[in-house]
Amino acid sequence: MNKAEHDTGVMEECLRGYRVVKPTPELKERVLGAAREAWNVTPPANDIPWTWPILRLAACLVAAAIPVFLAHTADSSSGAGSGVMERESAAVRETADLWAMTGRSQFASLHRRAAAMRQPDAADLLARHLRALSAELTDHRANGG
Amino acid sequence: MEDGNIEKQIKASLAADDSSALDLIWNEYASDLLGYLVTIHRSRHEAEDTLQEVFVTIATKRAYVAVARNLKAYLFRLARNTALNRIKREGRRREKLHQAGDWLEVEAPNAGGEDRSALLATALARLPEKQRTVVVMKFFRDKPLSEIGDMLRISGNTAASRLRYGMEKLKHLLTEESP
Repeated sequence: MNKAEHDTGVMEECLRGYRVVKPTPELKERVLGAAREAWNVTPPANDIPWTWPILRLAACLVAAAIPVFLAHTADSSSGAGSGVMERESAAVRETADLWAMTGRSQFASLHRRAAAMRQPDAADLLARHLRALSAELTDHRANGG
Repeated sequence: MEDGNIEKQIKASLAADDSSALDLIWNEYASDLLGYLVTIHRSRHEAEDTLQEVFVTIATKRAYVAVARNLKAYLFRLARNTALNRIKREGRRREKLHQAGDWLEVEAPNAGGEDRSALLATALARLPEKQRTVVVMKFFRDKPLSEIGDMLRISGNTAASRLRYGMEKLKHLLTEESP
């Protein structure tokens, strides 16, 4: 037996020489007296309200729905992200084409991959919407609107 | 009588609105509840007052107690919540006044014949409550770890690890504080 085990054994032995206080008969009388008094003034028809099981069920359903909802939200947001990433912007295509035209096709594919891995930020999305809007307006004007 | 039978009997009495349920609960759980409450309050008087509050709650909310799935765990949870509410209500100031060793009693004097209960109580008071509860229940109430786990709704392994950490810290504190 090493020293640490011996010390622990000695301490456990020492601890066993003590006890926490126990309830005295006076305490029993006092506590049960107060409890009986409370019992008598509380109406016997103090049944659980009918809403109690429904509330418990509702709480369980909410608790179960939260992780499902969070998982769904996380899944759809990551799905939306990948969908956007799949779309290659015109700027990326142009740059890649330039690399290809100058005979450096390895740089073109590298540029496409880097663009695909980059998460589009809000500014990119806004710019895309503005371009689409501008194209719509141009078409509208060209059609004599 | 087995735990399950007593629980059933208590629940049946509560459901039948028979106040003898209070006596049954007292006989079965009062010692352990008081032992648990002194570990939270670190004061005999505070623990006794909280125990009274717990029994009054049992009497007034007997319909809820009667349908508790695990009566023992329910009563210990009720005791803990009542104690924490009391501490919050009355503030730490009052609690600190009672941090004496009035909740420990000497059962068998050690080899030197000296009473180190005040020193021990001070060291125990410095343990985190969860570790203190397991140490007290294990050594001062002779409860097996499985039963402690049952009371506190934790696994036996969790109770064992709390005991181990508590004992290590207690050893350190007692070495530090020994004259």
